[in-house]
Amino acid sequence: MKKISFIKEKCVGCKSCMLACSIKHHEDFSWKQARLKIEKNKDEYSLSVCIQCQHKNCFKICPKNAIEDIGGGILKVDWDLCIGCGLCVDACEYNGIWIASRVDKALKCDLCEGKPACVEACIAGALVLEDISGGD
Amino acid sequence: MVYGYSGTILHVNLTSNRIWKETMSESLISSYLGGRGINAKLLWDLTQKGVDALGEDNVLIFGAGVMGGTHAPSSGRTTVTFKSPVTELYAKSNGGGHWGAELKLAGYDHIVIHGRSPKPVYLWIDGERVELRDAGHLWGTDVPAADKQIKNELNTEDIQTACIGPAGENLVNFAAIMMTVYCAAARAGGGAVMGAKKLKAIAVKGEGNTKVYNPKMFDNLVKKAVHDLKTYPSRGRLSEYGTSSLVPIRNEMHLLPTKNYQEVYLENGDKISGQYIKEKGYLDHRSGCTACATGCHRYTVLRDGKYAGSESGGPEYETVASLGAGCGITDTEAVLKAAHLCNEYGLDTISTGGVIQWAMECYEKGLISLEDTGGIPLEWGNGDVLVSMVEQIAKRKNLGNILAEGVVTAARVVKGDSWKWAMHVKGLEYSRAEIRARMGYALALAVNPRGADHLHSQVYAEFGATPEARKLIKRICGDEKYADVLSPDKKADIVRWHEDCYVVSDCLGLCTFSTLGHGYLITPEVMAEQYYALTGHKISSEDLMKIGRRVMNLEKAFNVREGAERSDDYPPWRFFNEPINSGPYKGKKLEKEVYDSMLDDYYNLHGWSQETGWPTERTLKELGLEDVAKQLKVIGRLGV
Repeated sequence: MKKISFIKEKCVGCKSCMLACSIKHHEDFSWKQARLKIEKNKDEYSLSVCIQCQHKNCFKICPKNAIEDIGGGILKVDWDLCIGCGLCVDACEYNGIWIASRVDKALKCDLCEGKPACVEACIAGALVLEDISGGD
Repeated sequence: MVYGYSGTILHVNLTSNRIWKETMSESLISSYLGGRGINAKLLWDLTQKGVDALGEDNVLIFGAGVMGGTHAPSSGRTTVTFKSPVTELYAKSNGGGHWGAELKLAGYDHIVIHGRSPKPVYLWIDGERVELRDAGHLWGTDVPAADKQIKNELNTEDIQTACIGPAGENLVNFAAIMMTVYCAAARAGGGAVMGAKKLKAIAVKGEGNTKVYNPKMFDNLVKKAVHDLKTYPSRGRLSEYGTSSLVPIRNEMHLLPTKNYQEVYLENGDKISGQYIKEKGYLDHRSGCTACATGCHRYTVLRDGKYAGSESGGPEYETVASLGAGCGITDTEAVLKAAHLCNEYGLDTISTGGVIQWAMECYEKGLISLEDTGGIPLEWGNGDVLVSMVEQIAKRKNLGNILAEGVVTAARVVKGDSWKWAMHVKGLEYSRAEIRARMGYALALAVNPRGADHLHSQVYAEFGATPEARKLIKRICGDEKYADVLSPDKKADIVRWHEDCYVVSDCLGLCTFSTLGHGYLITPEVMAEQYYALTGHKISSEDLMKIGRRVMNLEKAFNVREGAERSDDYPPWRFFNEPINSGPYKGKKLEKEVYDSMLDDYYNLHGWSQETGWPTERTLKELGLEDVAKQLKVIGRLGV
């Protein structure tokens, strides 16, 4: 199993990861479509992204079964089914899922089929794809 | 469907309180591309000859780059364009941070500020909704405080501001516009123009999106660029130590401008270097502009000593070289404090250091007295004096009130021989390059339409320091042998290529560390490919560079309309009359005949008159600038 790890000392807050995520999944650029968030809190950057945890609270609580298990411990949101109710957002303990404001659908990282666009775009080397097999 | 661009210019008239949106025409885009290019066209069209730079009729134009708000590496640069109060000529100033990307994603490529507000205001752009808000309570606050207050009252942290500090309000002629709080569009006084318009800030929130013509192709091109930039050797130094890591390199070569260019080596100069700043724990963290490929920006904190508690962005090489080496100062904490104050007051650190070191030389030579300075002894190397003078300039107190006008006006006031050590071109204080042993730099910084500055046509390739630089010299000149800093041969060709490429880079909003520094990795060919994938406009690299030439000629024409002559394209007196005094280049100075011949070559190459430096009708027509030629003809200022 894999997840995106964050080396905050390396991050320079350029947000190319967010823009790369947006174009990968939505074919245009928007902050609101990114499935990860880089924010600055006074003097350091923080990352919000799904850590591919195995509690699966989002999956369990979804009333429309819009979150599917695609294997490898990865959960993916099916926008055709998602109604943007936000129950998954409240259920997540890691701030890893949220509602895209313009479309009212849940946004969550699905690791881009093993080659995350954000990791590829991060020149600073702050984002890495980490193997977490054996625990979350 | 518009791809890549938002397609909209936002106009705001502060006199009439009118706000309107203009759709960008296809011809505007195809002729001037975006960013700096479209800004230049708007400035030419919207101002009249002789417009008062600090008056109601000057315009202040912001242009996000075409690539702004995408993940193209280093696409976070914004150009601000205006008539400069310090040079009284064309000015563009380029800033980083995240403001440009935010503007783009808010749905605007450009903003034009017209008129002058009767009272302090700030502009709030929340996507479609645009409004002017009272800024009476913000007037007088420093930049970080104003940014914080604006975010508080708009109840969001998720916005970007372009803001002036007290220096802009006080019409200091080299006041900066601070983007994302710590990223300065610093040169040539845009902050004063904004202050004269009583516009404290532009706050913007970008919740929209930018459409891409061919997302897959664009993403693949970006991945390739990311790979090339990530693995390029010099990126490591810039990221690890910032641009001020240049200090020990230049010092060792005796090319670090010291004591107002009287010397070229600073004893213990390492103490103002990026390496020392990191080693001693002043570096708090690094930061980057939107989609940055380098991460050269710093954030420094003074935790102990008399300046304890001071913290801010930077410092850059130009900052420590100007405030530090230029003033003979190696007191790290004083230089950092002065740099922090410049950010807070909103001052260009190059010009601020430039006028202070000039004043120090005047003091040394008896032309400025303690009475003039309010009791401050303007001694070389005195860090406390530096900090005090930054305050005086921002607040226009005592001598600071004269220095705030810029070095040319200050020299007119102080009189005597002080003009000889006023280090400027066209009235803009010199970037911190030693040019007596660098012929290409000498020409580039002198012919630059905005004055003595490196970010218009810095000819890094002339050193031949990297394989890519040597390859480029061969491409421009036909032979690598012209990568020779001491030779005047082909320097006109090298400068002109860089001018064109700088324009293209600025139009696209790309940082020149990627396009024109070290590796020259993002070539015109790469830019043309990325531009096509983003916008769907097919263009060759040659045509892209021709747009660069067109914009360059338009900027030149603006200066000619304002009265510029050949004499405005010369380096300052000191470089011709006082040789470098130590190191491997000891004895080198500029020779008038050699410089004249480079300038003749440069004018010939451009198709400009050798006698006046004015573009000819033929040159302008070849570039599609018939209207410009007509206007210059009417006022009798076309080259022959």
